[in-house]
Amino acid sequence: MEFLTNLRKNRLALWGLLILVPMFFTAVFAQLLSPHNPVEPNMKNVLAAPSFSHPFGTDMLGRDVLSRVVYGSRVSLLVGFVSVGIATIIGVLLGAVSGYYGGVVDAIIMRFVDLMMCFPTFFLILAVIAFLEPSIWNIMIVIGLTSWMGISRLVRAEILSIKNKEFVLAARAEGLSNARIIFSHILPNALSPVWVVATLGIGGAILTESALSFLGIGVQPPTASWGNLLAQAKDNIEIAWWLSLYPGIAIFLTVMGYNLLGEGLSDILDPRRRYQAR
Amino acid sequence: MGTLLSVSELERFYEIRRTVFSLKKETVRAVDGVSFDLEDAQTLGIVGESGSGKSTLARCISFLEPADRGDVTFMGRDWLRVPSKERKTLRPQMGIIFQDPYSSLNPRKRVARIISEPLEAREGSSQRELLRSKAIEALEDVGLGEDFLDKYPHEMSGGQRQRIAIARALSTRPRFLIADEPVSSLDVSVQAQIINLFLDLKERLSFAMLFISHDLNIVRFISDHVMVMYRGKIMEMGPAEDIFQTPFHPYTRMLTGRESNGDAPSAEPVLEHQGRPGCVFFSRCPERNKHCQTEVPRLSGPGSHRAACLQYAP
Repeated sequence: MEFLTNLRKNRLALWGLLILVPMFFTAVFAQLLSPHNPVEPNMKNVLAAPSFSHPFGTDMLGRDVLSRVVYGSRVSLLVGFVSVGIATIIGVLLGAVSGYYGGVVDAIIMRFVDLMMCFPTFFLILAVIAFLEPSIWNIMIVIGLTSWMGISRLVRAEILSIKNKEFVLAARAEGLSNARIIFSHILPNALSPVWVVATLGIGGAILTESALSFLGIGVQPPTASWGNLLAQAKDNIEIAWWLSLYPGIAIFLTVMGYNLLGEGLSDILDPRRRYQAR
Repeated sequence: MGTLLSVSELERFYEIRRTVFSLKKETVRAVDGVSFDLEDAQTLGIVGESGSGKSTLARCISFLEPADRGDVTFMGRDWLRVPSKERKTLRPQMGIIFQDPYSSLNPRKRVARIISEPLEAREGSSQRELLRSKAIEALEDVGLGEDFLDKYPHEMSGGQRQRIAIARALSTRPRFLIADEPVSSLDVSVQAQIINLFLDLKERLSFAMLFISHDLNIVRFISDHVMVMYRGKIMEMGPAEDIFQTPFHPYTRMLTGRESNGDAPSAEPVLEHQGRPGCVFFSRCPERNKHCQTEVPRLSGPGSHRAACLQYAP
């Protein structure tokens, strides 16, 4: 409840939600909201400029761009959530184990993190996707598997500071198991910053998917994603500006929305910054 | 009445580097050859300035920290070496209370959960009704009402929080309670209430207690026996009244205020002494002589009142 009150007072988070909530509705009710079938070609009406029946115009196969952008939001939101979900689960588990047990375990996990961080992530993803079938599920998994390192470092640092607090000692003295102590006592107190980083990460994941789709190894046509809409648009960019503009705006707004929400959350969840005027 | 807890030659050393870059590691002897016995339903007070190893001793006994050497016998078992399964069954017999009630209660849990967790760990089950009724019982023990069950720690005062910590430690009806500076972080008026609560609870529930404090008056008030520690070693131990009536050791006299600190240098950094032979108290002792610098004093004395000082040789 306190969280909601603070959320209502935070302008950054509100702006973020103002963008994201309609975006969610769009994704969920894509079928109702899109005026045309997004994959049905209409060869009589290709590359038509925005008009009343096609507000965002049509593409080189005569498909309605608005409908394709609306359906593309499903891909983007799904990619954002699933890949960041995967990254968060891996990051939190490895970070928690590393921070709580320390010693050799910590050293091994953290060197693994260093190793993963040394790879230029985008090229790693490119290389992996090149060998796999380019499907949306593969993309989400690969993005998830290559973006958990920051979260695990963050969680480790939080846990290092919490594990010596007296309430954790008390739990150990009660004879609780290590798993119970980690999941019931330490993690709930360590997760606030993780929500912030994960929220910001969703924006990053959406951008990565768009970039992959733009390069042609992401979501495959005829399924619409904002990235492959842009990729198809580039061939006709001189004569049909509407093909690139609207998917571009959609990506921009969504990523912006997550970044604003993430910034806002970091204010709300950090008690030291909570009372600063905004 | 039998011996509940017996500690013998317990040692706990830390290796530290003076600065991040120093290659040489130095050893801090946090607990250095401590031995004592604690009878059922008795209270042993441990006194000493900060850094004297009181808390480390408590943590070694409660198995929160490994001991490097020595033995602890608890309820007849070799406590430091029992298989972890057996230790788990003995855990509920040992309660522990920490100094700071602001950090010893998980800020995200309600009082009901905080108090019933040790019970849950013991029973291995979570029958809600039973746990709740036991939690209410534990709250009543410490003078708080049922309406505290659903509160969060930040909704309570320091004294109330410490009562919750006590209720948690006693919820399994342990035979042995470790209280590590339980009143040091409380207001003076609240201190008295909590001390009275301890006395009252001890009478009703009859448990043995290890009561750690740097405040001699409190220790004197609550303890049957007292142990004075300095730099990880026992300086003097014996029945509480004897120690306060006729303190043998110069350090005890200094703590009781019988003797002014005089021109003796006050506390020096812990590290300065490491590796030097002789009495650990040498540099601050007003009665030192040249033997004190070379010879290590042993605990000796008539009956149960003993001191580790060369000046006091019976």
